[in-house]
Amino acid sequence: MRNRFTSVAVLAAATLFVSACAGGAGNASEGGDSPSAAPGQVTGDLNAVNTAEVQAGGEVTMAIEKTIPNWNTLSAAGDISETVWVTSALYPAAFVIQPDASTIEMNTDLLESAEVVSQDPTVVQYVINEDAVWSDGVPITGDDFIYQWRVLNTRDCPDCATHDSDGLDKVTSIEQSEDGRTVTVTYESTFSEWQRPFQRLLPAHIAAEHGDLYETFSDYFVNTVPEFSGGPYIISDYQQDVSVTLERNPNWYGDEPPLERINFVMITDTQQTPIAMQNGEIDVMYPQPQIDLLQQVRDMAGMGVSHQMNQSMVMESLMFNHSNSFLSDPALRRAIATAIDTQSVIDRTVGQFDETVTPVGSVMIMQQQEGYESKVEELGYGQGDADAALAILEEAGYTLQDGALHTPEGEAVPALRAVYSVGNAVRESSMQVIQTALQPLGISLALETTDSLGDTTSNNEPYGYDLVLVGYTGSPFIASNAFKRYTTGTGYNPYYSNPQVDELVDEALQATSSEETIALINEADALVVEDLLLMPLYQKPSLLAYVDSLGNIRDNPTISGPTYNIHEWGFTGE
Amino acid sequence: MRRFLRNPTSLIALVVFVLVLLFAFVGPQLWIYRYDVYTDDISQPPSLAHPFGTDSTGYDTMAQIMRGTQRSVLIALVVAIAATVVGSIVGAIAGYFRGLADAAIMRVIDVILVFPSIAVAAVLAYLSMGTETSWTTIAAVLAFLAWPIVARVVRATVMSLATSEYVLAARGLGVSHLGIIVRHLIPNAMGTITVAVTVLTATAILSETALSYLGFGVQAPDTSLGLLVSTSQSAVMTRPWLFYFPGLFIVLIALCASFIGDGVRHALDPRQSTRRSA
Amino acid sequence: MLRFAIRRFAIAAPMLFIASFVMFMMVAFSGDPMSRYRSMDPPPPPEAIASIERQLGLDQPVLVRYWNWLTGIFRGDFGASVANVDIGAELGARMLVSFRLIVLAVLIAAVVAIVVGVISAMRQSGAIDNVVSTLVFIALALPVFWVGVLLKYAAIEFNEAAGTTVFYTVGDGTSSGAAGLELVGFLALPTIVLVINQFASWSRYVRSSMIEVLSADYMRLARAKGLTKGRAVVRHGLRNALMPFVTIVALDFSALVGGAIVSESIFQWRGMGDLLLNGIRNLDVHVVMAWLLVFATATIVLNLLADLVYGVLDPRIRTA
Repeated sequence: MRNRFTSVAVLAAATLFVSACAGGAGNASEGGDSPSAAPGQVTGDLNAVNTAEVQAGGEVTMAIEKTIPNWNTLSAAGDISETVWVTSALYPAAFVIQPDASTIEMNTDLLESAEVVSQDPTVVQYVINEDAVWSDGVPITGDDFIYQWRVLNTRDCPDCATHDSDGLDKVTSIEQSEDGRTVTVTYESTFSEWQRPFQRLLPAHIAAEHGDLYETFSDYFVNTVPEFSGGPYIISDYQQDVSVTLERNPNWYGDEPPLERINFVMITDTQQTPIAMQNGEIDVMYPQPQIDLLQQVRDMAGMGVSHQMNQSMVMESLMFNHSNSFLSDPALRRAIATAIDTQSVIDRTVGQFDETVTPVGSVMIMQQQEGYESKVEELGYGQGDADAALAILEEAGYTLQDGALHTPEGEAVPALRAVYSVGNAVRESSMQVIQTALQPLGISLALETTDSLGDTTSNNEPYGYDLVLVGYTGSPFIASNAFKRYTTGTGYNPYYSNPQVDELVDEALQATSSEETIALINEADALVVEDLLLMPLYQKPSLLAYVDSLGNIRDNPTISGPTYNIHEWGFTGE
Repeated sequence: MRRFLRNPTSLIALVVFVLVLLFAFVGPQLWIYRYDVYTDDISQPPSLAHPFGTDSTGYDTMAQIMRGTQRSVLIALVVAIAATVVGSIVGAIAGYFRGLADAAIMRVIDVILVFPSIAVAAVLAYLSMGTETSWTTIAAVLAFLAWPIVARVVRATVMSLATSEYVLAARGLGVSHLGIIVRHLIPNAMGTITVAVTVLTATAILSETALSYLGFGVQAPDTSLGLLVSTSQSAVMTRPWLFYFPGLFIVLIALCASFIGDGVRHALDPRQSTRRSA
Repeated sequence: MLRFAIRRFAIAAPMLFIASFVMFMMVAFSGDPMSRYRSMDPPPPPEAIASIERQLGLDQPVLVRYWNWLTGIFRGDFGASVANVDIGAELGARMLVSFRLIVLAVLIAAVVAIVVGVISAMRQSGAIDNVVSTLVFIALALPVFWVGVLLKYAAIEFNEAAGTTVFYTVGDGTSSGAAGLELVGFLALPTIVLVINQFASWSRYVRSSMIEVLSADYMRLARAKGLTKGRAVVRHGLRNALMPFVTIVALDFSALVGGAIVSESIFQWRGMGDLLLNGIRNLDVHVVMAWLLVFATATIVLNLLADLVYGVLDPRIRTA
């Protein structure tokens, strides 16, 4: 491990203390740091940040904050970001989502071409590079595409608990040429987001040795540490719950990746990660940014640590339980949304270290994506207007008695159970701000924590909450994403159904141009926002810190994660 | 008592402890900020308006520490008192009656003491919380795990007292067993018991804060000193007031309890040959 | 002596059995290990949940479960885990990590405690005693986690000053192949945390038993025979003062484990502490029970050993 210290320790210590005090004062009101000059904030072409000439060789240690209990990232339980980052160097993808969250690039190492040969129904033809092989020398063929289709399409393996069908449920057939290098995929109708499937290919020939679809999907690929690879790196060492080490895949068919070795170290207590970075024990970290963390990272600039601040694809939002007998009244939901001051939520949380965060006004298209339109201003949501909120309630027949809200039927609105993830300080603060904002309406919140909520998923127990703070992850495949999250009976929203939304999303899935998709989705989006299945708040910032001699590493806020181009990482040799 | 007061360290500790209690229980009534209402001052370092600074939501750290101290001290005292009461009674019964009762009680105690207490506390607190987290659960669990320690000590003391002449004399005069336990044995074991209370207070506050630190103790939106330290670990270098003040309060409380206990021990036994009591 | 040992063992063995029963019931009646599947969204099909329940044996009455679990352990089977943990293998690997920490800390803490305690006792109420006593009281009052975090920052300062990474703040070092001095760098901080946590109460103990011993008749006799104070202490006093010490280590085992759990969490060691905390969070009952069983056994064995050692050192105990 390299030593990354300046020799003037005393000076460094003194600076830390001074900057600590200054930082506190600056944040309050003076606004001394201008937002445009915020160091580390990425600007310009997100797909080309930190592009550099790099040398071959070297070793990098990256911290990940979760262990890997399940290696099958296609399964519901295994689709954990950290596992995806590690395995993206092993499981090849047909297309890779780029950091700008709109560009989708074909994996040119794996594929020679992939194009739509006809529409209505959509037929896609993939031509696999003839050098593309798994690490055991077996060629990557249509068999691997077919295996993926069969485990994910929900028909061939109904018991496979998949993370998502990736659109493969709409595929009616897959055919391949004799050598298996040309694969023809036929959809049941026009399918606009055909670039979405085949994200993480698993080797069909290895699956064949370990049982049927269900057995391999739910057991073999889940519990076996992959010894195979179809990507630039291969696992050379795995210490359960401690670390994974990747080395170059000797049978890799693309250009040799610069880095010789990459260690992923699992540090599950995120508060310990920056200390380890400061102590030179890790070279890369991708933590949830927080004010102290960012300050620490900035202070490490003198020790050769760079960082990139970016906008993530995770939208923090307040979800309403529509099955709650009080919240089922749209007027009450609207009043709550109107009384909440989203800007104040931001100011007391992430706004303190990232002044570029602004309220998000859409639930289907993220701010950095093409076609984003805010719908909340028009509806008056998130402005913190308590009077307007009271007016809504009054009009609907609600009354305030002794500071408590009563329904038109005269029933007192009970304290609403407001749930957030345990140990998540940002959500705790957000909930407290929301709680305060609702006091004038006579609505009280009973704050509760839970640990069954993921950071980014919307896992939630039905009836277990009235209001819950969740993170919704956006996707470049806006129609599929909207379908999965907001249409009737899709599991993510057991109690919300709007036939108009269902219809619009369905049309968007079959649209032939991206403009058409965006227009339809925006229309559906406006309806969902107005219905308040959830109230969008803001998109979290993301933070990537790394030793500054490491080139080509850049944040990718999509599901691909920052390791999407791990085969390009390398030291600049300065 | 007089001997206790003559020991300056213990006296100071007692005064400080009383001050901490006032701070925790009376302070919130006097202090302008509340622990659950935030201010417009965000991440302020200590100043006249906010002697202990504020956090990133704008909560006044002093108000938070008052609340945290209240919770931590309340849990510690409940644990210490409950465990001492139960432990003294059970210990006295075991030590006085001996025989089968003693054997049975000691086996129960042995079984409870076989498990590492913080582990059992974490398991029980986490599993029994269900929907609502309350400080009473944590106090109950910690007290349940602490009483056997007191019982052992009291039993040993009572055993030696039970054969003393005045107890035998009382028996001869026909005083009932209950009367002997209540009127003679427990008052005479009071010294041991007092020491146990103070030692338990110190260990209970450390156990509670450790549990809260690990996430199995007091849960947000309520707060405790352990939780305050836990959430501010990353602020050591950047917003040190958030990390140091709650930690110092834990040290202060545990330190006072230990010194008071030491003072009591000295006062009772100037040669200070008392056995370790916990 | 043999009879004494057998009698002690006869008490210890059923204790373990009873302890395992109490623990099983305690865990069985306090939470639903399936809730993590039930709360999944989208939820797994009910048949899948039922099959996992069968796999975990949750469809059977609690006494049957206990019996199956108990007999399973004799076959080396600790039961199924909801988080797919191979409990037997994990226990082995992690015990090595944790016990290395605990044993190291116990040895160092014992030595420090004896030195500090003896010095304090010999200079009773002197300036040194007062200073040392105050420090000891402060150490007694320090929360493990607070010290742990502070030590990390101190280590960073030290590393900066030294210009090289001497101390490491995460991991136990063995998995990254550290050896020799580098391994010491990994072990140092968590060990120091535990030592601070433990030596203080022990040194109080040594101090008071030393004071007792110093005023004993045989010490006066030794002095009268012409031995210097130091020699008398080492020859006669220390041995008598330290005899009860063996039981203290056994008694304090629980506190040590508590300290180790917190310290493993701070320093990100994948030891028993980490196993337990994850087991609890996942409501992984078999992991939690296996864990508790390991430590219950360890405590009972330690107490047994302490009894036996004591019996060997002090013949009077055997007849007690």
